[in-house]
Amino acid sequence: MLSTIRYLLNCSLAAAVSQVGVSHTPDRVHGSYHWNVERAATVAMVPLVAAQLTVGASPITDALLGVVLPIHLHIGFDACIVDYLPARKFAVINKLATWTLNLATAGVLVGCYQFNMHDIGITELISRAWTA
Amino acid sequence: MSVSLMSAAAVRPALRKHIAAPIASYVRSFNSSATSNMANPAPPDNTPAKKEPLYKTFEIYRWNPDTPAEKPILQEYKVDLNACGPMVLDALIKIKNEMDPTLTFRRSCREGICGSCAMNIEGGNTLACLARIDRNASKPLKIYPLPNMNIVKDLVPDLTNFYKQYKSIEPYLKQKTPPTDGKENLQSIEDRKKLDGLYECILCACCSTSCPSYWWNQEEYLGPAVLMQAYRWMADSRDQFGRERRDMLQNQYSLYRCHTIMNCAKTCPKGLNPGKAIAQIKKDMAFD
Amino acid sequence: MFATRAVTSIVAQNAARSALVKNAAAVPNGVRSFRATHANLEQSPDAESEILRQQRLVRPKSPHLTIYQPQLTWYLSGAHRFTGVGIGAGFYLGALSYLALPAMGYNFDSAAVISSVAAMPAAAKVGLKATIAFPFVFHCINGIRHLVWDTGRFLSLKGVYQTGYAVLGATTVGSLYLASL
Repeated sequence: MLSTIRYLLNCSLAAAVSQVGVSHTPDRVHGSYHWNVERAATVAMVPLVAAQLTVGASPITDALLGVVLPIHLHIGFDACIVDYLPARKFAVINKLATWTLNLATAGVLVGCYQFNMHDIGITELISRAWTA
Repeated sequence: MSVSLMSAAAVRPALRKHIAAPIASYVRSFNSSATSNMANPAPPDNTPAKKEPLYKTFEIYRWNPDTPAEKPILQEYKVDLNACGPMVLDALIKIKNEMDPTLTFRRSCREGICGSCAMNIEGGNTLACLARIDRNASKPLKIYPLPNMNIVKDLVPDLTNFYKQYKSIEPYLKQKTPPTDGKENLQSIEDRKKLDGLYECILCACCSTSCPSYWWNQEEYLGPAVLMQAYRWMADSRDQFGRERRDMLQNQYSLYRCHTIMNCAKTCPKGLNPGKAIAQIKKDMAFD
Repeated sequence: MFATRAVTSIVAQNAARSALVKNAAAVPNGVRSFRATHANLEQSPDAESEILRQQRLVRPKSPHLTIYQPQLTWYLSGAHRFTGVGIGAGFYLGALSYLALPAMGYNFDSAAVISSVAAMPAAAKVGLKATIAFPFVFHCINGIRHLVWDTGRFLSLKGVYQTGYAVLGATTVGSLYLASL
């Protein structure tokens, strides 16, 4: 059993090694476009956090934060999956993790929307809990 | 200058030996004596009394493919620093010549231009020939192969994948239209200057194997050394395939596993900055 | 290819001195690798790939994380990821709890959170605020450092270290301030 796994691992390693040198077909969605979106979401976080810290609670900040922060976090978590659970090594776990993340992010987006609409809003919660 | 003088002096005794000695010892002298003379220069006759020996412990990663079931170990060697050259490579050669001929490592130029003796010394990747031995004898000096590489033997890593990656970026001039005069590719002084800090790379693989992203994804991520060479051709005013070269990197892994960790620039024994070259590629690709 | 050649030359070099090598008999006694004829070293591609395959099966990977020197570069990068994942996981957990817990019969809204924080002893409050403030401030300031890097600025080794220490200083001041509020 163990030797079979070893053999398969070895074959996949040899395959991976021999694959290098084959040019990928350009895929901007996972390349520069992805990078640009990642930077855009990060740059957008700067004024949002600054506004939270200086101006305080505002429905606009909260609404934007409820969208931009989940996107920023989603991209960040996804980068961890790509880095540490690559599909070539962990075919099943990679899929599982990616879909769990997709589902969780969808839930978080809904949760943020609900909280900003029906409760006191993200910034107000933090500031009140911080000084409670 | 002093370096070339030294090597000339070191080779001369070997040549003299050659004239009188049978072929077998010629072979030996070519193999080791020249280098051992380099490691322990014989003191001239008028030098004062020999220095007290200063023994420092070297702990060196060992693994032998002939006994593959045995786990890699750190083997200790005690080297008299006062009878050894100043660099880590000098100590390695001394150990191989005088204590343990089975110790295996790559080396060639011993002056930081060939990149053969790249290894992990005291935790950082560098060239053994450019790394001074810390003369504090109370602290052992640890030597490992380049990190997270398949090991061929002892300090020799398998660089097959690294070289294949280098080949994959097509490291040569590519043009769509030949030079106007049909002879030369002219380049302005300013354009030539853009290649400084890029072309000096000796492909020793110190930077790539210092990069955590390369540790996790070296099967797909090209790594700092190869990416800097990719940029070296993108930045060359004579090359006409910059856009196509960048398009080759449009995927999740080849380029974008770089997270600007900057271990590459920290460790480069030639003082180059692959991280900055990669940042420039990303910037260019953002506007492609 | 490369590995095979390295191994054959190791075998050839050791043959004269070492009895450890199993197939020493294949190499004529006393012959060094570079004096061996080409035919001696030549192998069929099949044999070569078989040797390679056998080797790849057993050879180790050299150590990495555990032996690499602690450096500001990769320690700060690691910290950036840890703090990001930590705060992010907390945020995801909070948002999903707000969505799911009421449906499961638990009371989880702003009032519940604020009152449970208010009920904590003072020392626990300061400790909690510090453990949230420190990673948050670090990730924010180091994030700006990364954004500046993406424009190509401060990417020299000197710049990397100067901004690194600046981030550490600013993080200490900023998180102490936030924790004291």
